[in-house]
Amino acid sequence: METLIIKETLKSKLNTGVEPAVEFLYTNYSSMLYGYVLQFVPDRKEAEKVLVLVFGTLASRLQEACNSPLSVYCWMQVEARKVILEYKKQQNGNSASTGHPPVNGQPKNAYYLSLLQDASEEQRFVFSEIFLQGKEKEELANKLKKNVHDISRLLKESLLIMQKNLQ
Amino acid sequence: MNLQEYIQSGTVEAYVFGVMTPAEKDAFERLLQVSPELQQALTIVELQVEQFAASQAIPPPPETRQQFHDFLHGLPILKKGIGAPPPNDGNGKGNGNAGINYIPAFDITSSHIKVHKNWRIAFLVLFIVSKIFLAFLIYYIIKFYDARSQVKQLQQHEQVQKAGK
Repeated sequence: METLIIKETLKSKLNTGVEPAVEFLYTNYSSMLYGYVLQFVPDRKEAEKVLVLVFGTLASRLQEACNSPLSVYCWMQVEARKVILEYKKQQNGNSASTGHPPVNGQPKNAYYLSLLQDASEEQRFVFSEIFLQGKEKEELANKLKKNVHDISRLLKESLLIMQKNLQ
Repeated sequence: MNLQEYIQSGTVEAYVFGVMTPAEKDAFERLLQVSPELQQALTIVELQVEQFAASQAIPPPPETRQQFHDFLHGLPILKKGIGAPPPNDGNGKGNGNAGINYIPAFDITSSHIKVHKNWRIAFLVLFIVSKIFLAFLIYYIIKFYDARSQVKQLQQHEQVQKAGK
């Protein structure tokens, strides 16, 4: 079981230097984040590279984690998603063959999608497109010929179903 | 919408999952500063997310740590210390993905290197010049052998003349 790190611990680690702090985070959170990365990038070898990229990118921003209203892990997860989506965007620009999780059906590591078994097809699709694929709400609204409010509603509904299953 | 409805609308989850627009995020964080109830709801969701993440944890292979160290030692932050300004995603639109221009310029996932476009012209010029030199080289080698054979012929001719005398 991974140890959850509180901000005071991270601050004291940061006082000794960036490297010990990021090393400490890697020791405690690399497994959790690797599982998280795999839902976006199902290929294990590629996911390992993305994991390294995530920790490397966040290394210079650890002070932000201390100032964020989010807990250290949740901050890392939110920021990791941004790095992963940017990585996927760059990869899709270079080649269309990078592995992204299937929208209909589940990727190898279903992760959050596994909590959406009770959700409608539409709710799952909206969650997948916005959360996993990084689509903008406006973009998705145009694609589905709905308004942005409907997309926000569907997303929040899917998040509530997920939260219910997290309990 | 009162606070309870706001909490139960999925807003806290949207914040924890990072799928809010910057405007929604700002509003949420402002409310968070004045509402202990919202703070409590946030803590509960965070704990659930962390526990779920721990239950889904998959240890990366041991060699990933070495890759991580190699990557880390290539970062300027370790040489300069903390000082890089954090990217500001407060002004962009979208679901919070703005401001990702801080990814290191090198791509660890590629076996290729990227060079400046000007190198293409330089390589082209170098290629053409090398071909011209090669053409000159071949031309002068042929001339050299021609000249040498002429000298030989002249020498033989001279020897024949001397022998005749």
